[in-house]
Amino acid sequence: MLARQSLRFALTLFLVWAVPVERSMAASASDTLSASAPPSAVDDQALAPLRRMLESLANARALSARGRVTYDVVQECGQKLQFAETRTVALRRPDRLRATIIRDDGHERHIYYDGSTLTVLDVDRGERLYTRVTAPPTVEDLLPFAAARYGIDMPFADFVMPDAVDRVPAALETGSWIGAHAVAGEPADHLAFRQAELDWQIWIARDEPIRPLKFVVTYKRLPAAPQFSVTFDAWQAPEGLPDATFVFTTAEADIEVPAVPNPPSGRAQ
Amino acid sequence: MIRPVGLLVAGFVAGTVFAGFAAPSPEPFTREGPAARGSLTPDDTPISPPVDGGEPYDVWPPPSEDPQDPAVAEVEDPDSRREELASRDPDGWRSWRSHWYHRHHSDQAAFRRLHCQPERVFVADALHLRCGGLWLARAFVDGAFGYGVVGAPEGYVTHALDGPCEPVRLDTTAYCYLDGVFYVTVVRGTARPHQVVAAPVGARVSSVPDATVFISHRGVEYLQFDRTFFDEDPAGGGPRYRVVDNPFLPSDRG
Repeated sequence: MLARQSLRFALTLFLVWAVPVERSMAASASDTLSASAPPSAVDDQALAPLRRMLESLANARALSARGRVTYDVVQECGQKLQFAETRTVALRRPDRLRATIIRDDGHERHIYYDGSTLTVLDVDRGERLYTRVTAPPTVEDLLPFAAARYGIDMPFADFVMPDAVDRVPAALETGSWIGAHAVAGEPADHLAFRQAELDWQIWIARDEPIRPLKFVVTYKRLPAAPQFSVTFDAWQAPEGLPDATFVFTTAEADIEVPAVPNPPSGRAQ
Repeated sequence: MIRPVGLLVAGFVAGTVFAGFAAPSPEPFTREGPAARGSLTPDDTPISPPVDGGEPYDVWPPPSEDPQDPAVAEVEDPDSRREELASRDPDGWRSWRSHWYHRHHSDQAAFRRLHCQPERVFVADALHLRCGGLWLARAFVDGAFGYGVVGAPEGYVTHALDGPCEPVRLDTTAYCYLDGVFYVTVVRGTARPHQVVAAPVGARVSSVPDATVFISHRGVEYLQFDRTFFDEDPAGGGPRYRVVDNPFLPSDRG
């Protein structure tokens, strides 16, 4: 039977807008959430640190990050399993990106973008397969292109897209400042937001450099409400990342495989 | 899930290296799911098309908003789609991204992993993979390295086809058409086996393979299987599908 391509998808991005507000450190999470009826809008106290963080990341000429990720996958039988990965990304604006994803089963993915070519190398149980495609000229264009056209997700894309500050507000239904909650001993603003399809939380460092320390998404509309969580342990804004960081060099055992673009109308899933 | 596997065509296939094969790995679980991306944007949200449709990564028309479009209807009703997916995951094949709550097509156009031990067939010194009646090639599809369903490779010679073929005549050449592949009869001593040849542009056939996909390019909808593109003329007399030039080739970009 013929099947018609549908496929929707999207790449992402977020964040917000805000007005700096002095906040009372005496306020507790329960105070914030129970003071009145459920919030009907996004609290400025939540938006301010979020906006500062996004602007900081958007303005960084170069940055790198490493995060310890866990995510749930609901199996066909309904059982929810959790998997873990270490994801890293190094970015040099406007046109260089390098990412690595190391799964808990040993599978490795390495992504290289040098301004004209996007290369994906997977290393799994001794097999090294890679594919190369022509890519748009900037990181900003690369991220949606890679996701939609080839199903390639870049780690932490939500945080590094320069237009994130403009994209998120429209999607937010509520936002709250939950409290001053440390992450691995570092003081942070714990914020919670709700959108139509998901709830998410973020812990943003209170001290410079402003950056995310932890991020949790709950996909509340999906069966069993799977979660994604990442704890960052290495946000940096290096002065310079050498070109070699972003260039893929084949090894003897590497095998090239052609890439098949997704249908023009969207992405699978 | 549907994929234009035939887009191996536009330059990709020329350099194809068949990467050997992996033994079947019937993992009892999947580690793919929507939460793995950690994205704040639901998957069904369309993104903006690139401003430069003429770039090498070609056109990008917006998704259909027509509620009569099966693709749209599917997204609107994931529960019924899930039931359909469950009924269409036959014969031990694990369809690409067949996770039960994913809202997408499931189709035998590409596979993440195989539940068979593929036969290794060399044609013109190139390794090809075959599982039953399906020919496969390693391909990067929708974010992962897997297997795309392709046609039998050109030059492949067989003495026995997998089923009755449709006779097709174009100009002075007689073809035998089966499952998206055109064969001609060749002479091998006293034998008369069938050899796979390139799909002849202009040939008309009455069917296309299950793994055929719809794809739209510059406002025109095509059907595509591996390296072969068809257009459709259901109203006309005679065979319904016609082989056309690959619309994605650079020479056709105008």
